[in-house]
Amino acid sequence: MKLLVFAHRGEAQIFLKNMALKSHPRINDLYVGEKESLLITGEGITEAISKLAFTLGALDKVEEVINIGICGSFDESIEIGSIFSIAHIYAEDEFKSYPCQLTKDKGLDCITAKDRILTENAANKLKNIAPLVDREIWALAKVAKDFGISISAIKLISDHIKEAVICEYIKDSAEDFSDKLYSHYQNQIHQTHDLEEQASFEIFVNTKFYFTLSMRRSISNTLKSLLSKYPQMSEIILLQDIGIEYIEGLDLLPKQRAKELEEALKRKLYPLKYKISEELENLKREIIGNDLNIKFDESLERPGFSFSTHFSSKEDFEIKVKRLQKFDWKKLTDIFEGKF
Amino acid sequence: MIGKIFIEKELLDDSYSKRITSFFKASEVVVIDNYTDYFGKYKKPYLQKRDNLNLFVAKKKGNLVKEAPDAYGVSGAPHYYYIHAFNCIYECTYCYLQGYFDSPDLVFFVNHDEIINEIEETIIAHQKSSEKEIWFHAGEFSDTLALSHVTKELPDYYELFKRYPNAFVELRTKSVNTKEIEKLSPIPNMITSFSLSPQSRVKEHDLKTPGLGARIAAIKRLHKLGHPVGIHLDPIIYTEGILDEYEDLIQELASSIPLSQLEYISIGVVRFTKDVFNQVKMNYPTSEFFYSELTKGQDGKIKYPRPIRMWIMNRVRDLCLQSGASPSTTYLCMED
Repeated sequence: MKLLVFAHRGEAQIFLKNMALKSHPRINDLYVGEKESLLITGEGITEAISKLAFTLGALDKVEEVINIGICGSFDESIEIGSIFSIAHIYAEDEFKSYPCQLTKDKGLDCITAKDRILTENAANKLKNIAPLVDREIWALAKVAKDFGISISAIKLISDHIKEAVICEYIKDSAEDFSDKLYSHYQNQIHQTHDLEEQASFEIFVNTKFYFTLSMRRSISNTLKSLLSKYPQMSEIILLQDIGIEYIEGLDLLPKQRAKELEEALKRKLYPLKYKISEELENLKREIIGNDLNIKFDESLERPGFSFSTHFSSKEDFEIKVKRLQKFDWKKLTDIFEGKF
Repeated sequence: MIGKIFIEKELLDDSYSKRITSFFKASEVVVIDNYTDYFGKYKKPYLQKRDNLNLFVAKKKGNLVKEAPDAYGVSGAPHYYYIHAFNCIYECTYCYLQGYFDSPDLVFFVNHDEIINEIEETIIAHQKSSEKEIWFHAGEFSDTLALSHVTKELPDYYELFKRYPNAFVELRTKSVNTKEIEKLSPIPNMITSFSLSPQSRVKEHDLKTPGLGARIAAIKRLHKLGHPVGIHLDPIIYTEGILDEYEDLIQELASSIPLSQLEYISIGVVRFTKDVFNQVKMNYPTSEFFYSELTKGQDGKIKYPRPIRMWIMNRVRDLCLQSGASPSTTYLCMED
């Protein structure tokens, strides 16, 4: 569900008229719908934090917060009435800043002011940080981030900050502003969301393989990485390259074939790591047994190995020590010096 | 290129500052008290450098000369770096600056007289206790030459090092902007070092930087004038055709300058701290780094596993030696 967040009822009025929403039984100024809900927070950082945090705690299906409303501009070349996505969010005297999801346009940065900016002096302090200013978006971004929810914003420029007190004008224009924001939301954001589809690979419908859920995820990720690494290859060519026909013909259960496929794909993606790992396995093979387990450093940073075993007698101890003494240290050092 | 220039009030009449502001005539100048009131106070995304890059002209306070980590330069001598700028006009996808400052904006420190004094004090103190050479590096947090025609501080540093032949300075760059160096008579202890990568890697990762051919042409130019040159084959990024690509690069370099006449060739592989890697993920989510052989080591750094690092560096070193580089000055940049 998308949660549309406004500071003032005036900004939200056209949305409230046109959307099928019901008042929430417990939270004032929250209106709930099937796919979209709407929250009016009130003005300022404290109100925004408190209202959004309470709402996100109460609603458990919010996937995205969309802040919609008006803001001021420090830059007189930005036309009043124009609408922008927000790219990055700052706040007055706050180090932390937050990225904002963009829609189609490039977006502008916005800084949230602690108080209303009514004088040029106050404006001068903030205009070096971002071209737009509002009173809430940073607070909304912070709460959204704390909840692990993405945030986007569409802002209509209501005034240039250098101008004299214009609160009355903004109030009078609220319906017009709300109408423009609603049209923008309908036309641009509403139509472009939720387009991302999960990549589906043809290999998953091949009946010679059986993929568990985790294997499917792993193979899907590896295939995506390989297709990025080799942009000239298609899935089919890539699978041919790793010997899909050979794997299909293996006398194994479908699940075991899928495991072989996973290994082959990873070998293609990480050829050097696989080569090193094979060399280390060969080293192990000379002394390993069911009763003596050897492990090399997984991060391949420290030469050497650790082992675990049980010595059942002095004789057993001496046999195992003899086996360990056969370990090829020169070969191991060579591998770690890049000679493999 | 530059959006706004923020200049500290006390530097309005400074000659370096005036040169900088007069160069970027189209940029709005904003007078501020202290650059730290803005720079790093608000976290500004790294990629805003593409279309919202500001410049701060400021005075560097605190330590102006710092001891360099062991991995710096030829071992055996003390190494220091001095700080006269933060950030860079280029955009390299692996650059640690994206996770270092909280802003991509450029900062030019113009109190060069103080920096030079501190370098000189360090040299004098060193010379009292040792006859060994001492090294200074510029470009720890910026490209030393890229905007040197704007900042024009090089001649002042040159005059200092001319007086101390046993003190070496390395000017590290990816640019081909060698004009300011070319104006100076060569001295053996002022070394311009170029970072080189195969052209395919430059195109993919060294965004907005000059191509390999242009860098080699700049190297040739300086060498011809008698200026000492060093090379950093760093960071090397593994690809399937890595050896062929580096062989081509090294041969191209060797056809422009005998490798034995280079002051040094340093060889290193790409590596990241966790913070920088997270920034890279955010800034370049489709980068090849994310489907490469890089692994998180026990120290938290993201790097190729040791066998792969050693394989890459030793092979590239062999290629250098085969093309005439001197074994004693072709070294691996080891961080562990």
